[in-house]
Amino acid sequence: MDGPEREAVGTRSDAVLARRGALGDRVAFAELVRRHGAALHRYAVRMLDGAHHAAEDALQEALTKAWLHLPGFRGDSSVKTWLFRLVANECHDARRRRRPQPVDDRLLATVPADERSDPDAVSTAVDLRAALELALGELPWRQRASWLLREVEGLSYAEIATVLRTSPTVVRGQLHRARATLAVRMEQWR
Amino acid sequence: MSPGDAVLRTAAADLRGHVDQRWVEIADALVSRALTASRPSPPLPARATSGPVHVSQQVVVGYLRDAVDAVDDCEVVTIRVDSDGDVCTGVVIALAVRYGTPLIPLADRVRERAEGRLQELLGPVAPPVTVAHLHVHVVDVTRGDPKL
Repeated sequence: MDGPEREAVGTRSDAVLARRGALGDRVAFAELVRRHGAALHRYAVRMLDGAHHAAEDALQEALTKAWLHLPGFRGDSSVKTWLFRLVANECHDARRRRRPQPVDDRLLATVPADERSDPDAVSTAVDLRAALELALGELPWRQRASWLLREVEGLSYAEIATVLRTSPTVVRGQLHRARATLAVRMEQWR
Repeated sequence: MSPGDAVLRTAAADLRGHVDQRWVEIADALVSRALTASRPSPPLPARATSGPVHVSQQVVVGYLRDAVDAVDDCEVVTIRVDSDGDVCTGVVIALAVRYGTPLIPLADRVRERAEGRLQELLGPVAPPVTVAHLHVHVVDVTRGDPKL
């Protein structure tokens, strides 16, 4: 794709790109993935506990389904919400296929600080992100998904409900619990 | 706001701006693999120099979209190809049109381009696919450029 063509595609709305993709425009589909792919990947990795290979498999399956089913996309939700729903479904399936592990009492314990690290340095972005990801990994699936979709990806309660196939009221409750748990877990990283 | 809330807010903002390096590395490959999947689509009869062949309806739709894309002030919304057994009985092209565009000349341009592209693609099929088989419907009107 040359410069002017890339520029033209880049100025199109998601809805127009989806429409063109449905009619076989591969460049439009690639642009949709370019716009939302980083967020979809970020979500998949965190929902699958940092298992990059599993996240990539889930994302590959979701994108393939997006391409195949784009002609049936009626715009009942935004394209972004629809893509997140496809990825969430794949992540859910991937988690179900994994061997179940018992939940232990760590959920209620404090996050152990790395003894090798300087307490003054733990507020760096990398450490903070690592602490957040550790805490996220201990949240129940729906709470984690709700928090990521709201606080990181900026979806509305209604959009999250569409992605997770539940109601906005349930999402509100899941978010409340997730925020409370995460705030306690992150407090020591002040 | 509790101290934990403040830290959480900072961490969320950091994660929001973070792009996994791995995504940058794999993005093109994931898209390419997704695009190798073929959408199920019934065949349409066509005639090549070597004899009769069949062309996927998805291919026909893609070529028609490409042909109509060159017409200004409109954007294809849907394309439906109708067939009866081994005969293409009609094509319905639904358009979004910029407000104020004269519709009849626009529809004529769309039909002309679509007919030309169909004949290129399907060859001298019998009965031929002519302008009479091409139905243009305006399903949306936009104030701005419908292609955006």
